[in-house]
Amino acid sequence: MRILRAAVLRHMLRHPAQLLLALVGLALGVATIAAVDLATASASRAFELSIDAVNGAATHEIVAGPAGVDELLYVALRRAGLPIDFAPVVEGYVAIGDRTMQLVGIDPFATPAFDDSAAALGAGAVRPGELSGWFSESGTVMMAAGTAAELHLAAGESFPLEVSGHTHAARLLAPFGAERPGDDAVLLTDIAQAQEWLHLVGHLSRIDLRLPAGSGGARALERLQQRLPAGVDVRAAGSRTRENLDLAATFTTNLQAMSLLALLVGFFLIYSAVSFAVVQRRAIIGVLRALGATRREVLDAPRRSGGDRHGGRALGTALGSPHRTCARSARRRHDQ
Amino acid sequence: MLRIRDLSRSFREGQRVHRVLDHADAQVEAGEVVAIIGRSGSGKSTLLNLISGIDHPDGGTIEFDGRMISALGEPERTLFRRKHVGFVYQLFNLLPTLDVEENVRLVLELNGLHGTAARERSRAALAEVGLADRLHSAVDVLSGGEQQRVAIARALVHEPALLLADEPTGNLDQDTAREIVPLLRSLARRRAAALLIATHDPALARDADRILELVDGRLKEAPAGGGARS
Repeated sequence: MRILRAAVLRHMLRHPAQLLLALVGLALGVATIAAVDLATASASRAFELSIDAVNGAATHEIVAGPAGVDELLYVALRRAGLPIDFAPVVEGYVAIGDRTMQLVGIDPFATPAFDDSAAALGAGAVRPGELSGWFSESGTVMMAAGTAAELHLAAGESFPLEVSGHTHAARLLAPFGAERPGDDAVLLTDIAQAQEWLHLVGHLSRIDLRLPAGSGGARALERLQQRLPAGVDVRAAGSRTRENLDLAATFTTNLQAMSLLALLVGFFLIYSAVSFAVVQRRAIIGVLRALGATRREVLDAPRRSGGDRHGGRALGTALGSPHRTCARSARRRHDQ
Repeated sequence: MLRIRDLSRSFREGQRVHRVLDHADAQVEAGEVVAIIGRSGSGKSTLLNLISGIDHPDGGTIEFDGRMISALGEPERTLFRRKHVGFVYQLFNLLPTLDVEENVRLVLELNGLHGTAARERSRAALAEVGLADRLHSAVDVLSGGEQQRVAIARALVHEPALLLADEPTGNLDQDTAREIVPLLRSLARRRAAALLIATHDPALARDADRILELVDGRLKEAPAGGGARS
């Protein structure tokens, strides 16, 4: 069917402006769908990774009411001789300029067993001279290298940190040597500093636990529960993740609604572009059908001629990636 | 060869149903030239579209060489049309993106004939209509008469048994029309193809073997000159 293809292909070449319009329509439609697909998947994954990054390697956690866990409980539990690793955590939200970040106060001597970011402190990511600043200087923090670059902060540079309407002076000790998904919104500091900034002196947000596997872990958990005062609970770390995911349900619903809307727009664009292309060729299609060309032959002709559809799809897929990046940036700003 | 029985076709216009064909009957033999006359809107084109399988009747039957065309599905009717029917239109309906020879060869390619054989056959068909020297001309630079000659060559190149012409001179001046109609008739006769010409031109109808007049959706035999056959 060489002539049949030629009839369709030459029509496209005779009308370059119409061909360009159809191409742009198809490309935008495909780009929108590709971007939505990628952004939705990456947003969901990034959220999971962020939760994971905050949770670290903890298997369980001790939590209390809104006031948090009394820090003396942590001291008592450490001295109890239980076969459990404990790590105190104080966390809350702070602002650097117009960027909101999660402040995580850790005890670097207790935390490395749990969390890779904190482990970076003791793993050579920070030079020995700088490490002393963590303990000896007030207001020292660490953040991901990418975040520091976005905030135009260099190691050793001071910057204002806003917590609950109060501004404090902070200094970037060093950026993280290695970044993981979720790190970009985390600001690490010493636990005592976090307690001071977040007005939680004497209290912890939670105590992360790592129990041994098997029956030994169950026995240790039982012994631990006997030592907990009223109003303090121990629960699996995953349950907090599930709660977080539940809390994010509204966000997810919104994201899905936006995705469906974008998909609708994408399909509409593609439908319009294809309809436009068909309407342009209606006369040719009519003649071909009258001469005895089947529907399949008429439909296959542009496809086999490698026409506007392939060009539009390739261009759309290429455009989808930067489109996705924009969508992700918008989402990140929304999250913050 | 072609038998039409109780053929009916209506079109809905809002609440009103316009019955174009109402139990029409006709019979056409191979090699016969039949003119179908009637006023504008009487259903001549609808009848040709039904016979060629482009349209589907509401009722009645169309039988061609013992095969019930009206009972076929759309894909089979398309294949029937491709193989057995040649169609000449008032507005020529040539493809502007193909040259003269390609317009004719397209029908052969649709029928599975490719390459040199198809090229030679389409050139021979064009030579028959006097366009051997315009093989690679663009169709939109041809005159109306030349375009209709290309359309005739295209309609006959695959040797169909049934040639349908819907107002073939409707878009031509009188002199050109006088050339086209005898050409169409002689080429159809040479191939022993039945020729059905829908026209409202009495002069054109007079030269047919038979005249069928469409009145109130029915086909009636009308007196014909029939001289052309002798």
